Amino acid sequence: MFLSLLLKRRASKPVSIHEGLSDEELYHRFAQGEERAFRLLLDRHGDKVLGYLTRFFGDRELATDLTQDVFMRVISAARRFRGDSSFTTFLFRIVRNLCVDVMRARAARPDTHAASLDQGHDPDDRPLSETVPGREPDGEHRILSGELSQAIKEGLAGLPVEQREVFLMREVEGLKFGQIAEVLSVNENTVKSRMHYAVVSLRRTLTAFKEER
Amino acid sequence: MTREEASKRVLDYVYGEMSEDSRREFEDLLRDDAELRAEVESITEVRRVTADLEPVHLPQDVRKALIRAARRKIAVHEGQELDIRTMIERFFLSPAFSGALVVLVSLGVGLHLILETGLDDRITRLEKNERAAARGDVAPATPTPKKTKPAEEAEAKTEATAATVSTADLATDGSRAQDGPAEARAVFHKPLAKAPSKAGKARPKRHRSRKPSSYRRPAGPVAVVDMARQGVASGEAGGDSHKAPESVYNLGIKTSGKGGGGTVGSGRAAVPPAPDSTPAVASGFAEAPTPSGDRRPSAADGGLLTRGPVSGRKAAEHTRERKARKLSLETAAPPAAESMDEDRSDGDELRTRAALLEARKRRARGDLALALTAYQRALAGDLEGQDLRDALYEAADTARKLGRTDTARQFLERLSRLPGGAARGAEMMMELDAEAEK
Repeated sequence: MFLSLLLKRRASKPVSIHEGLSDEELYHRFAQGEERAFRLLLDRHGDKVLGYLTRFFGDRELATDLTQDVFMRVISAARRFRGDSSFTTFLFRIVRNLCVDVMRARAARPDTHAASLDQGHDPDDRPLSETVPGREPDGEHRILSGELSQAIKEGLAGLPVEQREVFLMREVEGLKFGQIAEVLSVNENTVKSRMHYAVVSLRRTLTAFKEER
Repeated sequence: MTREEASKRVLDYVYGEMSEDSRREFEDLLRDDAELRAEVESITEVRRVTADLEPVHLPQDVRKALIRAARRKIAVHEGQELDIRTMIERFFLSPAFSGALVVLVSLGVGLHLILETGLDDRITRLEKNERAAARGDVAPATPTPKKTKPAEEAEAKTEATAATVSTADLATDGSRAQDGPAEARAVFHKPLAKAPSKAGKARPKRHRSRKPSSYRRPAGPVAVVDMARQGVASGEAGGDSHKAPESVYNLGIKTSGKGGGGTVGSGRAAVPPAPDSTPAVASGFAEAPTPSGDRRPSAADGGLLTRGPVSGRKAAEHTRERKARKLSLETAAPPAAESMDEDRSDGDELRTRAALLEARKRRARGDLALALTAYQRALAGDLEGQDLRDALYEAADTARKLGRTDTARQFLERLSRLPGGAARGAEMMMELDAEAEK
């Protein structure tokens, strides 16, 4: 009996993890105690989460801290993950919840003009670039053809939060519209609508940048 | 696909979320519709510009910190598992546990083998004793103490007489011996096992307190075995060594002293009974006082035991026989590595049990004479409690069937003095009386 238990225990610990495993399988294996599975998940999603948060808040340091928080939550929630949704959806729910927390914390502070997710869906709402501090560029613009890069960042920061998060989820993380709808708990058409307005707004920014040139 | 539908699905087309058929339809429209084509191009340009933004990489220190956190979390989970199941598994699979298990098993097997071997030796000795007893010899396992010269003479004379000696005779002679010269003292082959039991008092435990050889039973009718034990019967017989009472078989009693008292060790003696030796018998069993002064129960008291049919008695005897055999095996102590005294006491106990066993066997077979001698030999030993009562009753019954009523009465008297034995003995005593009247 003891021997069978030992063999069973050892058999349940495969050493190698294939790169071809899905995110869900990796996360499940991490929950079972495989550190390497978490490393792979971090490799797959770490940069994307950081890129999303950096472009969402326009603040690299804040984005780094928040990325750390996101993955700490991923680590903590490993055993509670039931696999009802995809890992990406699960991850970006955490990301979005953190973003909402940060936005609300900023809104609660009287000395800052914090952006709020309650700003509504109207594209004519006051843009985030006018309210969220720390949106100044941090040197990335030097790589992306200087001023164009800056114009795009400003255009992103100027998008309403709902449009911005939809656009970033679609462009940076590569989530499909259905997944974005699942993360945001809204209709897929709403997602597409927000995406449409975001694209139109950014195109306007681009056009304006070209006209200025 | 209409133009309106196509304009709504521009995003699906640009982001590749359109089915193959829809994509073909959309591209057909796209070729003909310049406005739609411009919209697609503008979105594609936005995508391209956004994708060209500087790629962001997670700093290595953040990555390492996260991996450390993950490792800690795994360790905590494993620690939680350790509390419940893994700890038990690890304990049972640990080398220390395996080693301890092996040692314990080895010890157990070794002990079992040792005990088994010792038990075999005991059984062998027991069988030898039985065979020797059947031949009327002294058990070989018991070392015989050196005998004094007068004792040897007395023994020689005693052996020359009749084959058996009745318990009543021995008692009689023992009574006489009390009156004889007191210089000779009985030396017991082994210490006395116990004091005579009295009603209402618990007997001392076996091997715990042994009475000294100088112990004497209070006045009154005394069974020959007890007399012999006290050394009164033979040891103080003085010069009448030929009358020295002797335990029929192997009581291991030896006399010593000036008077040259008889030796009661082995052999047989037939001594004529003294008329005044058994007052209880002479005056009637029912009227004889018990040591505690109570009147013995009689048939009129309604205290007679009702015996079952013969088959039931045989079954009971068989059961007792089995019990005795089992007890004799259980009480077999490890052999001769200990001191001489322990060996003696163990040997005596074994002999007693063997004698009782043999007596029952012979009685069941119908060898009543040999059964009686075996009973006498057993009753000289350390029997007590129910075994003693049963042995006395059976011995009395055997003696009665042999026509030796005096011997039977002696046994019954002794039985009547035991707690719980009076009623049982009274029944047979009544029968004896009735036979005597006839």
